[in-house]
Amino acid sequence: MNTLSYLLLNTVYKLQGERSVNGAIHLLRGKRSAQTIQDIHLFSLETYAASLKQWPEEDINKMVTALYREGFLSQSNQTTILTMKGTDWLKEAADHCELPSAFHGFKYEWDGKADYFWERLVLTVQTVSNLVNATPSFIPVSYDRLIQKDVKSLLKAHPDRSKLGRQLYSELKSIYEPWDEQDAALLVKRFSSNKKTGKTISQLSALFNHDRFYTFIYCKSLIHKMLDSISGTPDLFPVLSQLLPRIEGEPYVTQTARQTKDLLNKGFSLEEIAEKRKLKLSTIEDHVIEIAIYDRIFKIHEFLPEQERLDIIKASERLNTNRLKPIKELFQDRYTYFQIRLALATSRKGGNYDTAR
Amino acid sequence: MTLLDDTLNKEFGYPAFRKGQKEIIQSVLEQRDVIAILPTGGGKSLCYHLPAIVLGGLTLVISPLVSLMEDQVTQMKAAGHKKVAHLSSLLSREEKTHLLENLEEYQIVFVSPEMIALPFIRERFKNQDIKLFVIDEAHCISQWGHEFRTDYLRLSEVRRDLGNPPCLALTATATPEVEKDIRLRLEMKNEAVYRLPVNRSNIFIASDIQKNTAQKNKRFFEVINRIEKPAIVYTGTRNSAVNYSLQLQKHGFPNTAFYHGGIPKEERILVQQQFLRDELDIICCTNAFGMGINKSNVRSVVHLHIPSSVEQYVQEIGRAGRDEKQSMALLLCSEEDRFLPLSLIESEFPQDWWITNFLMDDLSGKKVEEMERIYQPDEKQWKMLLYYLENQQIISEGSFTMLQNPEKVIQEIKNHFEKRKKEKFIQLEKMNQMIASRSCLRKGISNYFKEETEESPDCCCSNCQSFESFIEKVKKQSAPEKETVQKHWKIELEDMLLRDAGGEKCE
Ligand SMILES: Nc1ncnc2c1ncn2[C@@H]1O[C@H](COP(=O)(O)OP(=O)(O)OP(=O)(O)O)[C@@H](O)[C@H]1O
Ligand SMILES: [Mg+2]
Ligand SMILES: [Zn+2]
Repeated sequence: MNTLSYLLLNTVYKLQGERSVNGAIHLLRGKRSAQTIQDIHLFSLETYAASLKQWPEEDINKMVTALYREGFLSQSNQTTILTMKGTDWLKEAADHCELPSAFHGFKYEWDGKADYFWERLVLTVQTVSNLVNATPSFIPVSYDRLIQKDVKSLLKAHPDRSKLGRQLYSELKSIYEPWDEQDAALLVKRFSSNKKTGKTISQLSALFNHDRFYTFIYCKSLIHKMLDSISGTPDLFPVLSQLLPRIEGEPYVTQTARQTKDLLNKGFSLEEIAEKRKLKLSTIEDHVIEIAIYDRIFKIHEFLPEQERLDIIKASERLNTNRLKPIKELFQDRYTYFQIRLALATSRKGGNYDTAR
Repeated sequence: MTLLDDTLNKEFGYPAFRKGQKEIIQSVLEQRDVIAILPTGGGKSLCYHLPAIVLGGLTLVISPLVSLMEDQVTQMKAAGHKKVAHLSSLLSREEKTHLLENLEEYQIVFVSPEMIALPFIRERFKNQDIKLFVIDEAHCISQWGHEFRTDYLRLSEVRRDLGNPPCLALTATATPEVEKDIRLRLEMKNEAVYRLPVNRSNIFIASDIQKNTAQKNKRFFEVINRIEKPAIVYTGTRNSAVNYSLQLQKHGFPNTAFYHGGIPKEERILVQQQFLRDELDIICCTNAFGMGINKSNVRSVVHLHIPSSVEQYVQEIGRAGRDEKQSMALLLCSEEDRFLPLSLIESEFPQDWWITNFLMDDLSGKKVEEMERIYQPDEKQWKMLLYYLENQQIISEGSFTMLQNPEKVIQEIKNHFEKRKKEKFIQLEKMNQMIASRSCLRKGISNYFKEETEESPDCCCSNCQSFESFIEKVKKQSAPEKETVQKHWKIELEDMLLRDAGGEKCE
């Protein structure tokens, strides 16, 4: 039992028995769908979202099977809940298995921001190191052409290589200096240079004395910490800030939802949009829900007047559920499923284990 | 100095050709079809790389493993040859499109047989001036072709489609039968054949079969102390690669890593580079590590399982001593290991009940993809089955035809697979015999490839002299010293980004 199991069990716990274990896995693996996006917010799972994006799927499936077998999880009509054993373990494990506090899945993992930045940073360090030390031909740590292209254009903008090396050095130093020595060492060891090759997560886990998964998540959290610093004061980091992804429009909304939004803004109805885009009406409805979650100024009252929205939220609280069916029955079908989902998507529900304790 | 020597010198910086290279290259330049059988590490890549430069136009290289292609391209680029690319599933769609639209900018393009089988891709290549059609690891045509690499069998069709460019087939491991297969499958005409002995005189070959796993492990941890590094340790499964690696780290070899097909790509690149740069002493791996790994100073290759064929074994020990210095290969296993590959072979083939079940279904007129969705078969097994059914015209144009006599077809398929299975068992059995033999192991290998026996080198094999005397003899060629002190991160960062040490360090 380790952080990986903790992550899954706590997610199931926070989903309050309203979703299946697959729902939890989708959320942790960062599967993009209106449902997961909605759940992340509804159940306050922002920090965990997409944390397992790169973890091998078979590992996760194996763990889930084991958790069932050993009686931590149980199935209760269509949804998954923690058993007493599971809840007890969770309580005990919270102290030493919780993710590092700097980790923020939804902010940095969901849309791949952390990877984007890190892959470019590692290749930049390697390239600058080789150029500064006059070894122009080397095998790059990333074979990805897009990453290589981005790094090349960064280099073009800085023809004086030693100056670039010094600048990069001082930016990295100023980020790492206030950190724990070990944390700084952990990230620096991952860089490759003209003299040595970076260490893999498995190798670091031996040095760091933690299991592979915790080392993996911990390194991610350190990258998030870097990103917090850089995006907080980009002016202080002229080189590093160039490695951040450039974002157009609302960061989290999927491309296809954005198109729907444009059409809505032009005054088309949901049906017309579905027709026009050759998509199912339900898909367009998913888009609306996705947009409503992220776009605070997006007007939903044409789909659902404010008072009715509040009524639905109240009903959900009274029934103590986020499941659609009981709510729909309570109002005797006065609202569509879409309207109920929309209301729930824009409410928030605290499902924190910590607050429950 | 001839023109060729000159090119060799200028483009590659080598003083002279290795054995066989020059003759092969000359035949290629004369536009002849060529089969070249050079030992592992013998320098086969040069046999198409140099002509590609001389001939101009495009050289197409068919290569069996995508990771192999990618590594080769990256290494060639790092060596300054920029006009090379690979076309494989590892590229994003944009990258593929970009490459296909700019083919004329390249000298060499590597492609997998599966990829070149796709009509729209082949169409692109048809418009190119293809000067040379290369099949690397050409034994795949025969060894694997009957099963999951069925696209290797369609290469003659591809070649015809591309306007019949001259063909060069390269391999290190071809028995006369395989050589014949290559000739046949590629529809070669008036071909020139070059064959050098398969044995590498600088690799000492040892075999050690212990009673059980416990004794094998005991022996391994004892022997690993005394063999020269860098070393590659081949294991039968991913799990055991990881486990041996962890054990070795605890047993005084901190610079050990593992490598297998299941670890993420970024990590694979790092481990590979650490190994190439002598930062690792030992790498524990499955056969995913091997072909394409071109490290010159590997001193030892250890097998802790039994490879599925003599070919496979020869390929894998061929990672040793590519700098032509004395090296060794040790196969260390237990009696138990000898049965393990049997079940592996079983699992490669579709089971009888599955075949019956599938073919008794109402297939006629159904699309292949549709049935694939419904049955969700194992990918390799599915390809194997499709290839057979297409050849029997039970599938045509992507749909199943009416089965006149399903029982008969089922029986034939079963017989077919049974036969293939038996061939694989035989290959394994030959491997088993080779390593268990009391006479010269090196002769065992050359017998397998039906070669005349050559003269034995001083360090021959564990049947000609003792393993211990070999170890004594080569003791301490000394591995490169490794940095063991842990530096402070700030110093490490300075070393990376500031110009070499000294002055600039103190700002
Ligand atoms: N004429 C030469 N002189 C010196 N080194 C050479 C020469 N030709 C090739 N080499 C080097 O020999 C090494 C092995 O070459 P290569 O990878 O082509 O082997 P190969 O025959 O393809 O082996 P394998 O069967 O294992 O794939 C490479 O490092 C290559 O640079
Ligand atoms: Mg080769
Ligand atoms: Zn011998």
